[in-house]
This record gives sequence, structure tokens and C-alpha cells, in this order.
Amino acid sequence: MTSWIRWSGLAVFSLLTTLLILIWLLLLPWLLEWGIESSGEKVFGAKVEVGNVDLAFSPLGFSVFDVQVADRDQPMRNLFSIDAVDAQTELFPLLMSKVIVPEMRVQGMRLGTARQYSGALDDTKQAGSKQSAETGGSRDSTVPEVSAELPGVDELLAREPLRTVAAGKEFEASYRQTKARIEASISQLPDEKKLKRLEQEVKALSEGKIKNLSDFQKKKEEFDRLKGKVKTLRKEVSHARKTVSEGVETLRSQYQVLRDAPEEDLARLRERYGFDGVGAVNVLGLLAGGETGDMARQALEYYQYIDGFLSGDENSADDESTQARDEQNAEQQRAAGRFIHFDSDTPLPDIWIKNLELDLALAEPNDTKAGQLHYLEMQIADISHQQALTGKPLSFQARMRADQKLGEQRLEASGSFDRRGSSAYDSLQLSLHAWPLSDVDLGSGSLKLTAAEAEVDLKAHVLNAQLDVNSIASITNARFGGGGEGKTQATLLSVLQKMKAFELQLFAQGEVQSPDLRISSDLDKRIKAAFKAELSEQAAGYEGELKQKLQARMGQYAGDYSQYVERLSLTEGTLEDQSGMLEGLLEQQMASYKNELENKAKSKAGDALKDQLNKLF
Amino acid sequence: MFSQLLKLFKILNSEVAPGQISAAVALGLFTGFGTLLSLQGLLIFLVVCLIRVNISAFILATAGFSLLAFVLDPLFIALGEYLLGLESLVGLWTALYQLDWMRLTRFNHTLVMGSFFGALLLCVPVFFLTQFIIVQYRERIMVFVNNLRVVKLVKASDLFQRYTDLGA
Repeated sequence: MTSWIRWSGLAVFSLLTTLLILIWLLLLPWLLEWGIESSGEKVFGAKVEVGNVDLAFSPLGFSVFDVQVADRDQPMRNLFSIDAVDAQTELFPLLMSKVIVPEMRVQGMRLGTARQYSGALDDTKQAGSKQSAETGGSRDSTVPEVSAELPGVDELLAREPLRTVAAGKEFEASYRQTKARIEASISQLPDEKKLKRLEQEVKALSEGKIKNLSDFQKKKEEFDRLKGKVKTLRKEVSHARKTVSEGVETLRSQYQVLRDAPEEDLARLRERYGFDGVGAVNVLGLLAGGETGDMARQALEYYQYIDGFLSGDENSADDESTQARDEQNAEQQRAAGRFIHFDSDTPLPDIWIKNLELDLALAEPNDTKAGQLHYLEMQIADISHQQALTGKPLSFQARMRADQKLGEQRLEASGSFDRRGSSAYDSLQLSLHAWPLSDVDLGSGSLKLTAAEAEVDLKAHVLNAQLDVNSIASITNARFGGGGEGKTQATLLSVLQKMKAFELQLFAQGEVQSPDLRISSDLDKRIKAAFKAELSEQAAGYEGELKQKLQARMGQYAGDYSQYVERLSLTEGTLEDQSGMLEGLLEQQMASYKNELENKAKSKAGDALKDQLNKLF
Repeated sequence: MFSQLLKLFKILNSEVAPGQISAAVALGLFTGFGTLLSLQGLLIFLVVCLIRVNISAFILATAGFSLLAFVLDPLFIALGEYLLGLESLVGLWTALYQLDWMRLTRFNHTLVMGSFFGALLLCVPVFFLTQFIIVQYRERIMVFVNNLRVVKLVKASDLFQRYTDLGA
């Protein structure tokens, strides 16, 4: 029975298996290091470097030292760097290439540290990164540039689209056409000589004697001919009168439009630029263009990375394009083989960090800014890109490290990233109390908020890639400094230096990449009021010069319109006279002559008949 | 050292009965289509070590079927998709999924399931076919091969002598 069993084979199997396990354990640190670097490079699109990996067996875990993750948009900077990571891991999932970490601690995490060499993955990516680094560092183009100085009047007129110019061109074209039409119509009219001759012909007709019927017929024919001629002439004159009248009306109405255009332009430019210097300085530009704006953009950048990592789950799809991409990925995965997950009380995603504690350094310890917070404590739970398997959203909390507290200041933040369902919902709540601000660059010249205390309450959420932010901030004990060249900058600084406290409300809605920002603040009204008093005289002069130049432009387009319309009025009078004369000829003289002719014809016909009858009898 | 290695090689290849070779080839189907570095692969290897099957044949069969697997993988994946998606079997898979050691086998991977099932289907036919080929080879072809000059030269060589001496 046992002859078919080879007991020595058991020894061989044990030996080989033990050898295999030993090799695996020897290679494991290297495998871990390689795994972190390669998967990290896929997630972040830039170099990920690990200094050292140590293993521990009781409990099973690992420590990773000197992690640097480069920023793909700025290859000479790190997205973040970490001094040390200590993690426990479960053996069983690890055997299936699943990393399940019950506890992980990260120490010395820093954002945006400098690198000694480029962190780009390859040349093409480096070129793209450089390009985006060149533009990515610049301020958001959706935020209007703060122009601290008004442009010169001529420069303003040259670059702004003007209603005066458009109306002027329309008027010029219409004027040419109307003039040509009127001239053509008038050129066909009879002159004075011709009209005189006609009058004489009609007079001659009425003076001739009628001796017999033949004379009558001749007169009749002549009469009819003259009548036709007069009617034709009357029609031509009437047409010319109508053309002139309509042309004058058209030109008058278009001239009115042209005359109103400079006022319209002035009103529009006044609203846009605010010649009192206020429109050129807006609170949105001050805040969104400065350091606070940079922080907001950086936060959005980090959000993109987190979103990219969390969206890697094939089970999540929140819009059509993501769904299409996921379907394509799913097809590719099916072709290469895939895991099919079943319901379980102990799900096993590829990566799941159940609880992470980290110290985040916001500034270098030797930073000289007074009261600067250096470390933030964060607790993040359920980090996994397969939330459909874990059944839990990623949630986080942050607060100041206990040894960092100075006075009353307090920071609390919390939020979650929920990708379990078909709709992605991410939220953030941030609360700052007695938070010190120092040397905050504003978006105008070299203006700075040198010191202040902030009370901030911010709520933000992203639902299906639509951002909604609602934030209220109260700034107290504010001190401003800096300022650049230009009268407006100096005036702005002197105005700001009187502001000790103000409130801000920030709203942002729309696409995460380019939301519509709206800031309202009592700072805005107070700056405007202060500026009005300071710069009203300058504003009046500027506006006066602008008005003069707009009027001059209007005049250029108007040309000799006024004189021409005067001439047309005289022409209208002449045509009216001519028309009256022809009317008189037709209605009175010729009508009466017609009656006379008929009577004479009748009497001549009667006499002729009588003579003939007498001859017969 | 060399003698020891030869002795080991001899021992491992002392199972030359057609059934032993055929069994080794049939077991090689599982490790060839699948992978040795899995729980089921290790179990198969344990069986191969424990049961008197020809290890050389097993190694050769594993290598040969691994090459064949490159061509058959899409078929196995499709088979795995079908089996894991079959409504009537979902209950079974769910029950197996609750067992940690079963998950180590990665049975819920389409390629693993498909290749294992494919090997399961083919192992019996392959066993009998291999046995038939070996018997026919020994009865007809081996006699012809043994009479070839090159084979006679190899058999007369030192290495072969030492190999046969070890069997004594």
C-alpha cells in the first residue's frame, strides 16, 4: 500500500519550501521598496524614492525611511516627503499581494520641499512638466488681474471695443448709399428751362384759334401730348421728393444713434474701470491673486491627486466619461484576467490602510515668521481606492499638535471622500480660531497683510465633480504693509492701513478645475468710500478727456452730414415748388382749357352741321 | 559532489513505469497551465514529491504546458469568467470566499479558475494518452533508437557508465 509513497520526497518538499520562504523573506524588503516606488510612480506620475525598508516579524510590519515623492508639475520640488513610516501588516493578505495595514504612523511629512535633482520620470514628461511648471506657477487666469493704475485715455480707447466706432462706420456706409440714391433721383428731374418751356407750350396751346374740326383735332392731340408729359414730370418729381424725404429721415435717425454712441461708451467704460480707481482694485483680485490664492490652488492640486487615486477603483463611475474609461479598463482587465469579488465580511482590497496617523510639517522649524504653526496632526481612516469592497469612505481629522498651541489659537478640520456609490461625494470642514496671519502676500503689487488674526469657518464639498464652497472669515488686528509704485498703490496702502478689522465671505461653485469665485466683503465698500474722497478730482479730469476724445471720433464719422442735410432741405423746397407748378398746370390750366376746347368743338360741330343741312335744303 | 548529485538524479528518476510517467505528465498540466507559486501549485508539488511519479517528466511537462498556456490563456480566461459568473455556482463561490485558505488559492481570479478547470478536464485523457504513447514507444521506437550508432556511443561513455553504476 505504501509502496507508492516516497517518504524521502517529503524531505525534498520541506527543504525546497523552506528555501523558497527564506528567499522570499530575504527579498521582501527589496520587493516592498520596488512595490512602493513603482505603484507610487503610477499614482503620482513622478519619481518616488525610498531610502530604506526594514522588516519586523513580531508583529509583522515594516518601516520605510526617507520617502520622497516628486511633483510632476514642478520636478525640482517634492509633492511631499516623509522621514519615516511605521506600519503593521497582516500576513495572510500579503501572501495574496494585498496590503492590509491596521495601523500606520507617518512622521515628518513635509509638503513642497526642494529636490537636488529632477523628479520627472522621463524626457517627454519632463518637457510637459517644465511647460506646466512655467505656466502652473502663474496666477489662475480665471481670476481677473488687478490693475492698480488706470491706462492712458488713448490706450484705453485703442484697446476697448467702442460703440462710437461701430456706429460711425455704419453711418458712413449708409450716408454714402443714401447720398448716391438721392443724387441719382435728382439728376433725372427737369431743370428750370425745361419747365419754363413746358409752361409756354401749354400757354401757346390755349391761345391758338380753332377754325374747324381739323384744328380742333390738332389741338386735342397737342393737348393730350402735353398732358402726358406733365403727368410724367409730376411723377418724377414726386418720386424724387419721396427719395429725398426718406433719405433725410434715415440719415437723421442714424445720426442720432451716432450722436448717442459716445455717451454709451463713456457709461460702459466708467462702470468697468471706475475712474475713481476703485473698479481697478477689487477684493477678489487682492485675495485670489495673492498668497491665499496660491494656497487655494495648491489645495485643489492635492485634491486632484487624491481624486485620481480614489478613482482608480473599477467599481466607481460618476460620470459618462469616467464610466466609458472604466468600461475600457474593465475590458482590458477581462482580457488579462481579473479578480471577481463575492460578498464577504472580511473584504480584501488591493490596498487598505485602516488607520493612519501623521505629523504634517507646514513650515520649516527655522522659519522666522512669528506664531507660525509648524506641525499638524492628522488621523486618516480607511485609505483605499476600492471603497466598494471596504464599504467605508476615507475620512480624516486634523488638528494642531498639542505642543504647538500658542495662546487661544485652534485649528480643526475634518472631512471625507466617499466613492462607495455611483456618485462621488467629498467634503471638508475647516475651523480656525484666533489664527495668526503674518506676511501674507496680496495680489496687488507688493502689498502685504503683515499681521492679523483670523476666525475662519469653511465648508466645502464636491459632488460629481461640482465644487461648492462657503466660507466666512473675520479678520481682526490687521496690519498692512508693502505697496509698490504708482499713486493708486500708495493710496490703496494708506486706505488699507486704516482698516483694523473686516469680514470676508467666499463662495465658489462650479467645476473643480475652474469654479466661479465670488467674494463679498465690507472691505470692498470701505475701500471704495475711501478712494472716492481721495481720487474724485482725478476721476473727473480723466472722464472729461475721455468724453472729448469720443466726441471727436464721432465728429470724424459724421463728416459734412449737417451741411448736406441743409442742402437737402432746400432741395425739398424746390421740388415742392416744382410739384406745385406742375399740379397747377395739370389741374387748373389744362383742365379749364380742356373744357373750352370741348365747348368750341361742340359749337363748331353744330355750325358745320347747320351749313350742311342748309346746302341740302 | 558530482556523484551525490547524480545519485539524487537517479533516485528521482527511478520511477520509469508508464503509469508513473503518465501521472507526472498529468500533474504537470496543473502547474503548467497555472503556476507553481500558488497554494494549489505547492500542493501539486507536494503530491509529486510524495507519490512515486517521475519528477523529470513532471518538470518537463510543466515547462511544456507553460508554453502551451501562452496560447490557451484567453480560452482559460473566458472559461473562468463563465464559471465564476454562473448563477448556479455563485453560492458555492461565495461560501468558498469566506474561507481564508481558499482565498489563498486565488480561485476568484478568472485565469486561475479557468486554467485549473481546464487542467482538471484534461488530466485524465492526458494520463491515458501519455501511457499509450509510452507503451507504444517502448515496444516499437525504443528498439530502433537503441540500435542507432549515436546511442551506442553515448551508452559506452564514462558518464553513462557512472550513471548506470549508481543504480546497482
